[in-house]
Amino acid sequence: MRDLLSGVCHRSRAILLVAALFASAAGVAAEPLVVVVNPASGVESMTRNEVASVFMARQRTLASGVTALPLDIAGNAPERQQFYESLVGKTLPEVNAYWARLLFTGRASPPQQVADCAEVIATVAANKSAIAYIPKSRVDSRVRVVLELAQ
Amino acid sequence: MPVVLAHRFVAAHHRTRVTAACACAVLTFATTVKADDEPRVSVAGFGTLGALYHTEQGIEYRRDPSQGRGAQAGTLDFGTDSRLGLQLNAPLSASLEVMVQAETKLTSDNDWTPEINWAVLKYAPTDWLTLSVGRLNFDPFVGGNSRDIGYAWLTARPPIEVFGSMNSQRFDGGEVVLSAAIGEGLLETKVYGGEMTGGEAVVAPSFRIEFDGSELIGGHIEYSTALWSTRIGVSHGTIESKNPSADLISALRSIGTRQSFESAKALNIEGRHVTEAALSATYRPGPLQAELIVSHARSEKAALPLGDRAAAIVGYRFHELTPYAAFGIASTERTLYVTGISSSSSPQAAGLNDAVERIQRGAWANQRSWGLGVRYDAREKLAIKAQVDVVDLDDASVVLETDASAGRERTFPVFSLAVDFIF
Repeated sequence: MRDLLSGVCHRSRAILLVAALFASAAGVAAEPLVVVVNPASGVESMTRNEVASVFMARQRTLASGVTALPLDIAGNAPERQQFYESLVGKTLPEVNAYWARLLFTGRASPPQQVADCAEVIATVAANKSAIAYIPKSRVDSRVRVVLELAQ
Repeated sequence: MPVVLAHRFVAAHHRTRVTAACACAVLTFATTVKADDEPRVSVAGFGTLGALYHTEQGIEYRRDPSQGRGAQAGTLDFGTDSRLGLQLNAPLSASLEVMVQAETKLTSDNDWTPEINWAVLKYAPTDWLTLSVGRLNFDPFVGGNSRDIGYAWLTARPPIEVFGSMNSQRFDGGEVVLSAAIGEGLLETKVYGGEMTGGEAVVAPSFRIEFDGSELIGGHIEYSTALWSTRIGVSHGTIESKNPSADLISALRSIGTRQSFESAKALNIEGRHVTEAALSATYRPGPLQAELIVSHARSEKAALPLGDRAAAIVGYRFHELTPYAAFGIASTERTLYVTGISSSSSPQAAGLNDAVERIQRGAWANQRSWGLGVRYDAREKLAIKAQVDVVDLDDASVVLETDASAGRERTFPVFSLAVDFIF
């Protein structure tokens, strides 16, 4: 009996391991991201192109005329990777290379970096110029969603 | 010659003092204006550690005429591509910013004296207007003023057939940029003007041109979207440097023949005009990157390395790897002005003819390069590149030809390894 139970446990672990590998290979979907602004920004919605223009320094103001303050989550945060791949189809090294050309020729500076989603929300809530991205599940009354990014 | 060298040293030292003074003045101004607010000063930098190798005797492979020497045959060279830059940005308000950038790299004097690339006061009062004054860099084509930012380029170095025509894009002056959102893109118009300050161009081992003080005006129109950008640029310069071959020019004039006067005129670059027109485009959808640059430069005189230049780069990203291919071509018209005096008439005539021909041929740039490479984004803000180029050389001006006895036409491979980083 003990041998039978041991065999069942081993097989169950193996099945779970294979299932996990399949899930990983299939790319378990990341949580969708949304672009958020301060509720007092005067902006109700934005197109993907408008958001891309702000985050890639082709546009310095929001539609309401407020000077935009785009925020990036620092480093190689998964949200940052997902945001740029979804927005412009680029990896972080490609985005960094793009910004290197702009920064070191005086054309523009990259978005201000913040540590994590909690700081993003706090900064957006405190600054009507701010525009940022967060997971959809993190949205609360302190921010307004202007665009949901398709995965 | 010692007098010339001493003068050159004094001039370089003076330039360094002036640019350092400008940078200090800009920073002092920034500190004074921002005294009552907490400045959000940021410091960033870029760099490349590059290694280069080839086996072609009599050739020193380099990036552009700002370098007094290049990679010699059979030697693993670390000087040609290596560089380090440091930049300070100090926003004074939402619309006013100061930026200063210094860089150390191999210079025309074969040293590593840091130089000020940028020292700018930038004022952007609206979304559509930007005014900048100070030490700037002109950019007739996309990427034209970012050639030292290795991390920003797909290739180990910007195509030397295009970027090797100028020792520097630096100038002291101002620029105005107007921007307008049109459709899904941005239309940008830039005009600039000032005095060039890039130091010496080592056109050939024995032929240098000092461009400092030369007047420059230019501009471009660019339309860009998230996927592509196109730019048309024009620049015009008036060379104010002293003739590096002044004695030779005097000798030619004293001969008194029509041909000797034509030869003297060809070598006389002082006060001459140079005009360049360029068309460039980039296309970057998803993992694909493609870039094209075409330029045409004209001058009245033969002793300036100008003509037609073009480059194309295409790469495709596979995860962290981006293999790429690159092609560059430089073409200079081979117009030779002769003295009209027979070399057999005297040893002095032979020497004169040889000098006149050598200077003119030394300014020609006729070469083609085909390159294959791969960029590996090893970690955040660090890329490693391995590249092999096949260079087909007819007339050397971008690269230095130190031994012409092997014949004018050469084909040889160049191997490059670069580590580019930003911080």
